[in-house]
Amino acid sequence: MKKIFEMALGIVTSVGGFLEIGSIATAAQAGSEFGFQLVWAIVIGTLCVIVLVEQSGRLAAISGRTIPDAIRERFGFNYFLFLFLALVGVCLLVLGAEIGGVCIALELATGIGFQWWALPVGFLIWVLIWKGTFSVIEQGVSFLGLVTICFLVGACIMHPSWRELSSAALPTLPDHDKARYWFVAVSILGATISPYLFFFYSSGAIEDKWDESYLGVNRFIATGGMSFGSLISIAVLVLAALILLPLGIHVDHYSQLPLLLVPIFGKWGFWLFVASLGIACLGATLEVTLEIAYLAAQGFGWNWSENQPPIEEARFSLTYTIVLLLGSLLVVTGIDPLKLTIFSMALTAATLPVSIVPFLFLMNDKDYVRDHGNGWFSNVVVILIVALACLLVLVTIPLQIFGG
Amino acid sequence: MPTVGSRTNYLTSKAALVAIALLVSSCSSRQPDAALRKEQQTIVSWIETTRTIADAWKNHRVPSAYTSRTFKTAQQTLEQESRSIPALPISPDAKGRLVTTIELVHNSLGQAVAGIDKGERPAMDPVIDQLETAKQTLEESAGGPSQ
Repeated sequence: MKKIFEMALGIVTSVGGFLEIGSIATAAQAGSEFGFQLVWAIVIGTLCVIVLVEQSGRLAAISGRTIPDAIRERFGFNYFLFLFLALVGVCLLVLGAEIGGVCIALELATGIGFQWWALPVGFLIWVLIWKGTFSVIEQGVSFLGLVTICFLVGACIMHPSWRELSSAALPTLPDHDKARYWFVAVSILGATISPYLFFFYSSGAIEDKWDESYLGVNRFIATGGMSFGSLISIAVLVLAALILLPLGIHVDHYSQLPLLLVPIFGKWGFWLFVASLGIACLGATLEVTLEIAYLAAQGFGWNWSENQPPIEEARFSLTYTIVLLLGSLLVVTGIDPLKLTIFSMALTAATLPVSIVPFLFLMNDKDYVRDHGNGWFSNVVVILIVALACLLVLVTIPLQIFGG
Repeated sequence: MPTVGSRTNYLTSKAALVAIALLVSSCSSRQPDAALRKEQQTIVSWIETTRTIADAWKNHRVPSAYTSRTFKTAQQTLEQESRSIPALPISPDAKGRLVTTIELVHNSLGQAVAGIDKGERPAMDPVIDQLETAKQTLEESAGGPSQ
């Protein structure tokens, strides 16, 4: 019974963790410019993230180590430092985008410019992390995040052509704006396969004291949670394709996003969008902030746990305090949150190989995973993900220039 | 003395340079039609955004603060577009039409913001009509609906 409850909770948490400003913005841009055509990018991204999240959870449950911890031990400090610098740089941009998302929601609700909200939002998040425990942060925000199901309901109300939608799950070539098409595809993949997502998941498994008996729960949460989260992303794309595309509205600015729900739910549509954006981005901000602190603490061998009082892990607490301040200051500068989001998602895609290649070694090392290592199929899938990640590294910067 | 291997490397690197040059030139040289279409697309996108929001505000579906702020953003974006039009590789006639449309939309939105401040919802009707006209004019000059 306890395990069933944990599985249900895990799915809810995964949905909350999956949807954030990156997935909303990239899906809305894709739908408004290319209709259903880019659904395949969300599908491929989801399949990749399911595999990586499941393996992160399996490694944590069997070895009692998180991915960054195992990377430092197996590959040495120099590789870890390289990974740390690359990830922290990108995660700070993603954090700025997520804080920007919360601030945009507040701007939409109040009319007060988003920059003015950056420091209060940063402070609120700091208080939540300082005072809250891991389960309060994980479950509280995730339950609130269920409001994002309104996108799914809205998409069903719009009666999309299921045949067209299912055929869009296979990649097709664009008939216009080729560079833009591929840039949006790369951004979707960057927003979906976020290293912070599977690194945070492995830290969460340690915080929740998972052991070998949780392997089934892990598999269920990774598959069910990520699939359900991606359904909501696809719903955003469908809404953009059916509402914005026929009007000729391209998503160039966040103020255009509430139009995804207003035509369906009327006055409630506006407030549902504001709540969805605010809560989804708040959840993601908490996760990214904690993930940077976890990464530093696990890599440098400090005490870390969101369940301990800050005084017992001063360096961990100091790290998330500084990280939050930097992320908030990025928003205070007035940088366009939508541009920052799209840029950071594309850059995330470019850093994927550094985070994913270690999976190939760790998940086949009996010192870590004992008899629960990858089979040939899982290894082939990880190799394909690494190949995709390498391709993304090659194409991201040129596409940023020509299609961004 | 150059070997077969070094000759192959030389040819490969030369081919790569030519390919990069072709890619850069094909991407950077904007054809007049493409430039005009892109500009029209941006303007139509903002006309439709503001028209949809104006209609929603008239029917009490979105708050005044959001409506007013989005209209001001649209005005700023269109001003930026207007400034970039002289540099576009399109005919002076086409440039003139784009600038005239932008001015029309800009003025309508200014009128709308004043109406929102006063809470005059029926005053939004002429604004919606003007935005619709601006879009039609733009599409007619482009020879069809822009998407």
